[in-house]
Amino acid sequence: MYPAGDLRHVARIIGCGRWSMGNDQAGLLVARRLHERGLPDAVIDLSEQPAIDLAAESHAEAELLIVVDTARADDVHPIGTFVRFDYREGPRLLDAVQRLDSHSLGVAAGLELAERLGMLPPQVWIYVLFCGAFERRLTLDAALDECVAAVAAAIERDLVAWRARRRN
Amino acid sequence: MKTVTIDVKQVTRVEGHGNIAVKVEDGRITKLELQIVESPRFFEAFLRGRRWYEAPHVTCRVCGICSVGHTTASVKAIEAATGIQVSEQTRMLRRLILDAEHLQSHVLHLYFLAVPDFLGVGSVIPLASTHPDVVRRALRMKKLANDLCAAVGGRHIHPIAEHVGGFTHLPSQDELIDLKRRLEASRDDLKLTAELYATLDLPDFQRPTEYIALRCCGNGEYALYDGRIVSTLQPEPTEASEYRRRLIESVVKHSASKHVRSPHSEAYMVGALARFNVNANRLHPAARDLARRLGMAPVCGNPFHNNSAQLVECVHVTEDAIELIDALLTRGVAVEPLVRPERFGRGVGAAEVPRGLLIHEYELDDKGLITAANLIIPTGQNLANIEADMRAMMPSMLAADMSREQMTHRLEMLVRAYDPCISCATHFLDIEWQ
Repeated sequence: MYPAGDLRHVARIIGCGRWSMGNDQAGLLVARRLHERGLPDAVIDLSEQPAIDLAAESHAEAELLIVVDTARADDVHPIGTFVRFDYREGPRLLDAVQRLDSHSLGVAAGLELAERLGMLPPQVWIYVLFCGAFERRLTLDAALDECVAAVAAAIERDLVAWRARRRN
Repeated sequence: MKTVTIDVKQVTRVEGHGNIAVKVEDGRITKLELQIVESPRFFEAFLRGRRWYEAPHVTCRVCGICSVGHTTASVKAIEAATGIQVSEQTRMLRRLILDAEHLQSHVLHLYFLAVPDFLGVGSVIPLASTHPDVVRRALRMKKLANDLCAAVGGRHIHPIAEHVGGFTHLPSQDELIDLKRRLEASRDDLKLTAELYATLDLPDFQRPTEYIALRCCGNGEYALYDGRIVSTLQPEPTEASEYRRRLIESVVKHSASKHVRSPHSEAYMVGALARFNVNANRLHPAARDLARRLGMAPVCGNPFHNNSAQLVECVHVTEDAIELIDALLTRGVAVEPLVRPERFGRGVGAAEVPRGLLIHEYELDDKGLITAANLIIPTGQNLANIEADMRAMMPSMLAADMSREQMTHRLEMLVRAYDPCISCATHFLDIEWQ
């Protein structure tokens, strides 16, 4: 997708999801919004096959990988909220999120493979948008529009802080 | 005399959910079932009343692994029912995307589902630590196949560009050139894959059976997109539209998928090994050469060699895809209008998909609405054969005094060797009306 040299000293952002699965496209929309903003020092991808895109190519040349995906809302994480966490902190994502799917590899499996293959950069941030149902349609719930904008703004803000820390 | 109970709840590293239940009492097999426990899918039922052009886009959702195969069989069935003749360009693009799906599916099975058995790990995840080069190669090949599907079909899975009568999206010249370059580069990956497979210790088990596949008449193609039904026991070809003469469906209590037999055998095999046994002489020379190096010759009766046949087919479809792209670049890819129906009636479409012969049959009324549908799925056709293989394997495993764990693992390996897609196969529900 990008020659390795292009990734040096940049953040790579991968928005994950499926356009045809309703709310699952929220991660893609965040990435598209960031792409339209023209962020400096950031390489942005939209991926409908995130496990393969995460694990088939090395991101180790980048300094930071940002993965944006969706998850089903629950009592702790209502619809329209989001969280950010560091991939290497807390419980193992593959255990926490899902077991291996019999039909495809998900984001957690892709990250696990990439980590074991030494393809992840020093920092990996995960942004998760919490949604209601994932069903086959082309549109997003209205409740998520604001969340998409909020996550994009948060990433932009976090990147500014990250760049400032990197300069120091 | 030995008494053994094997009860595997959900065989791992297969698509979908199936159980293995075996009971041996005093050395005698009293129960042996590959139970298909996944919920029925009802696709044939909810196709009724849909419009003719919806069928491919509905049926491609049968499965995420086999979506191109279902789309292909479906468009062919509708075209047969409506008198549509597609252009040579459409036929070439369909062959290309079918090649891509074979590569996509076989790489997934060989590396992610089968190889862990032979390298002594539970899944591809620990394999990334113990054999990182193997996993990197697998991911590279999978990505290439996915990208080829996306370029032709508009998406990595569930193609949206492949329609009845033609394509609504075409790959650009630049995309084709880039994909050809990557396919040519992947020959090195295939070579390394072959070297890896040559070192694997496949179980030595032989149970010749009937092998059924499509075979092209006249043009010498290794049949994936076109062909008539033949078998190793009945080489006289049967038109796909007459498939009921060759494939006889039946219901068994322990399976949510129908079993299928032929007029010649209670059980038969479809898939890569069946295609190899029927059409080995039609393979690309590079694929034939690999088969020879892997010790394969038709008729090969070891079902574990289905993995080897898949690898041989990876070489074949890669070379075929390169040739197809060359031909498309030479003739140029032009926008063509979708061919429209001339009539509405009955139609059958058959294609060789990664797991074997797939058949779609539809009846359309005079308004073009579907009134009946029948889907014959490869995994459903293989179920009886898998059980026959398990039954044949048990005595030798008992005689060798294998532990219960060893026998269980060997039976799971056998099931995995068939690369079953259980989600595709489950479309039957036995209702007991009170």
